[in-house]
Amino acid sequence: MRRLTQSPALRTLGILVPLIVAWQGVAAYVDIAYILPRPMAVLEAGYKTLESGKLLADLRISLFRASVGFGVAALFAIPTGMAAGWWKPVNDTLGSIIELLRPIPGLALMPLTIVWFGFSETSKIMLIAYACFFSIYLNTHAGVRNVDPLFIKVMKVYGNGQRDILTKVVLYSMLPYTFTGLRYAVAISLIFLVAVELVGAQNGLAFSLSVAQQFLRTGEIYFTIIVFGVIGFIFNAMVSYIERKVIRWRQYVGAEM
Amino acid sequence: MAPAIEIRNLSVEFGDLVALQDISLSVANQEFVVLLGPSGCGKSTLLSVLAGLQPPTSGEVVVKHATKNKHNKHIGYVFQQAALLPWFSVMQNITVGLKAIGLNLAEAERIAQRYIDVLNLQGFERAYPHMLSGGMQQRVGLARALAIDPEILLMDEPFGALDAQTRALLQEELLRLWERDKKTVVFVTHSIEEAVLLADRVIVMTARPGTVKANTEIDIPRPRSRGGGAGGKVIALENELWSLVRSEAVKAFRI
Repeated sequence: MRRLTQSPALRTLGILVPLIVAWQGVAAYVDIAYILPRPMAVLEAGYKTLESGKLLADLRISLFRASVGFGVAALFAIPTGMAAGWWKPVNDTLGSIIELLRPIPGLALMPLTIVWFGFSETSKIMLIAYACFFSIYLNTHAGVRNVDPLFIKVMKVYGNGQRDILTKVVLYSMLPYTFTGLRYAVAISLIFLVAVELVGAQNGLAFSLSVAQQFLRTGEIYFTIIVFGVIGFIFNAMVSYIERKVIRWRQYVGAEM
Repeated sequence: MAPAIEIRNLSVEFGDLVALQDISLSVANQEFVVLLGPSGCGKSTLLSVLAGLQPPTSGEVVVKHATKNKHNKHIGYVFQQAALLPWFSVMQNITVGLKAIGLNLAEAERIAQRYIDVLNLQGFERAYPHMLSGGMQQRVGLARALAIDPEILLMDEPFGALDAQTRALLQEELLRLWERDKKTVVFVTHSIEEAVLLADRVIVMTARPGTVKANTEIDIPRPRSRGGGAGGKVIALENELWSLVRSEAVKAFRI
């Protein structure tokens, strides 16, 4: 029994099944399909989008936008966070500019990106990347600042220069922080994906969500929300998986997220 | 023969704080010198100066073979609490110094393996530091220092964090290696017993600002053992050192 409760899949099922049963009960009681459709109706609506090929087309374009935006952000944020955390001149210049931009809510830039790039993929990906950048940058920066000076002393005593100190100490010290930033960025990428697709898109999951709302197809709305949840879950699991593979030297305490 | 280390009128200040004041000291080749003093007396600062990490405020330090800018391969440094890089395996931790002096990976690993064998760490080459006991971690730290075959070994309370048995075994290990390879050792401790067991000469330091208070030869024949043949002499020397250190410890306590 103990083993059973330790299996994550079974634990998830143990939460999901009662939830669905309760949903069915409440839906039957309320009995207004456009407010709260029954689980079966949601499933049917989902099946319809799958059968017509719309779901896969939406998924393809939405995942493309979110993951490219996320990837571009990581590509820029990790080196700049590292450089600004390590070299004061970089922090005073580039770091200051980043700090100046950071308080501006990313969504406020949406009209500007549309003016600049139109309703193109570029404008959407740029905005997602922009929003993801800060959490990765900030955490990486903090990770560099938290390097144990003792390890730097060790490297210096044994005759290692800047480059070795960066690649053998700073990089490893900051990685756990960077991964925390990446996890936040996963969530942010999805939030901004929804935003850019609701405002200026002709396709994608959130675009279909707004269409479903206009036609009062509540079943499809519920289904798409669940799809978003699943995407977030899988993205997060992927980052966690990579984190465990990369950071093998650590002893973890407490429960895994 | 020229001494391995020559310190003349060395002072180190950190702003208003005077860590070391007018220290003059010379360490002969292959001599085992122990720096003994209360906590905060600048023992570790002195080692940092010798390692070239801390520039003197005034005075002069001449370390044999030391080159001006590059931290040199003639100094091995053993830290308090081992100070191993947690993301590197035992092997990688030991090769950190070897690779820095320009050896390729294969060569570095071959030499590291020799010291892994000497310090009985076989089978743990691929282990991460957190998997090892405190004593084993410190053996890796010692292997890292010895692997570059330095002429001078600087040791900063290397066994301070270990339990009594492990500490005793590592002290024996260190003496065995020192007698085999004949290195110059500067060893920092606040343990009088450890000082008398290991040293050719004990330098007693004062509380802050750190200066040399006494310079005591330990003329007990080696190998020394606890409560062995020279038991009476050991106790006499320990008492002598304790009376020197005690007043400084009291001062340090009140700072």
